[in-house]
Amino acid sequence: MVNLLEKAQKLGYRLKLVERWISFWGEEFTEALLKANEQGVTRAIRVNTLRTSNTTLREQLEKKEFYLEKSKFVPNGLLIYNEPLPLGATTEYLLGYYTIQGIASQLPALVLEPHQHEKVLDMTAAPGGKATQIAAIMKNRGILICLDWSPRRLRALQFNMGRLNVQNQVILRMDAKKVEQIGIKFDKILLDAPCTGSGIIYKDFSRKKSRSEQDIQQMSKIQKILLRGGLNVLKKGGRLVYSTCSLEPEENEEVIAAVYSQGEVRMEKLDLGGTPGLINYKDKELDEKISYCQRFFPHTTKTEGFFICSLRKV
Amino acid sequence: MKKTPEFLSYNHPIVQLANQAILDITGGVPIEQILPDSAFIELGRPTMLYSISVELKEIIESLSSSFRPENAGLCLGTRRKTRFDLSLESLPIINYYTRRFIVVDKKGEQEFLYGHNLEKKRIIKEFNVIKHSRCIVRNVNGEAIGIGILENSSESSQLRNIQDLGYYLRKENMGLRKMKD
Repeated sequence: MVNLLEKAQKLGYRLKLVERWISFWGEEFTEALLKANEQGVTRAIRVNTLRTSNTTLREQLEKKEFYLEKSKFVPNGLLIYNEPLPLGATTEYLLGYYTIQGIASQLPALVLEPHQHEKVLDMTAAPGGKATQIAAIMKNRGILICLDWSPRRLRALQFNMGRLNVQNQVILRMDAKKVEQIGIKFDKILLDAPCTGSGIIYKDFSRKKSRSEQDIQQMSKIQKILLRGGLNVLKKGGRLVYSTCSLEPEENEEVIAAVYSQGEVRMEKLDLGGTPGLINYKDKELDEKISYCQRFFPHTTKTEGFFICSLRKV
Repeated sequence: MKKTPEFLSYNHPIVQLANQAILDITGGVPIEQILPDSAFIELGRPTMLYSISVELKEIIESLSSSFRPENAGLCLGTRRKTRFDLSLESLPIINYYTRRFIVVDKKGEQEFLYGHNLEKKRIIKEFNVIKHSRCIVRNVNGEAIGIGILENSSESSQLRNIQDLGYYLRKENMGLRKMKD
């Protein structure tokens, strides 16, 4: 353990963070995670089926000498192994044929399974990767309401909605904590909650150090408020998908456990190719059903670190 | 207290201004044909005109007046004093219907997407184009990459860039990138 902590220190980690990971998953797992964070994960795009097809886009990009491989986790995800031009500067990107989006980030909208006649809410929609994917699954039908608070993030959201040809959307500037004020009940809700982002350290090394234990606890509180608010505007029988790019159980399983214990939701078992939710850690023992969630790690699935849970309101 | 947006119908003067821009650029295809069964609203700053479905109209109507949408449906463009500037978002649907367009070669596509005007030699085909009027600019795949005006300069004719999809990239570079999703 001393060796691993020394290594972590050299890599610039806050040691408390790595000690936590060792206590959850052991040394071998944590060492592999640290290694994967240094190596990074393969870049990925999502084909925007509102503008083009998988086959057409592949042909167009392959002509430009991109080397692509289909993801085994998601239907419209392509892994990029050779990038002769910047992904964000091709004509196809400008035409809205694809968006740059990690593979695990493409899972929540698929789990949500929105239908064309439904009212769907994305509680924290900007910059819009998942919201535009929801619209694509809905084939631009039905209603997609998107919330965000920050004007800068809203501009990015509007920009992506336009580029990717989303037409079934209404964007509202509001704090998602006050979602009940909208006065609408939804069939499906996506809550991709703000988080400490320990699952994306591989692309943002500042997160090795920038988030403390206090930040995790603070974020957990906010996430519980958001989830509570989301459930309050979900129709009976409706589905809420909760996701984060954090690895910390306080921001994931514990948030889910807090609402599950109130008996208002049923856990939907996910089998997406990740690993089950964490139910025994530190001195905690969560309900077995919490393991129905799925976790993704850079070293196990070669994706961003991610957490997904699907809840059905009873 | 925010004001509930006003819904506009096809015969509203602002929508008619947009219709005129669409008629001009398409060579006579009216807005009702391109966007059937739509309502319209003006939102945001600067104010943009949006086309929305009946379902979206109903949901916006049901919102309390303290929630004015930032954006909804398809952005058609911006109203100016005497004309209407079509948005980049509206290009694919207009391109589908237009009878008036210019096709440029590969090099022309790149230059146009950088925001440049094009020399006449970069134009492969012209269809029903009227000099000094706006028209859709397509690449060799038939995809709309922007709006241009074919005009005569003192030495030779050229395709003036009015707007192009490269704007998305230039806008991103102004600070919208590097955002976690």
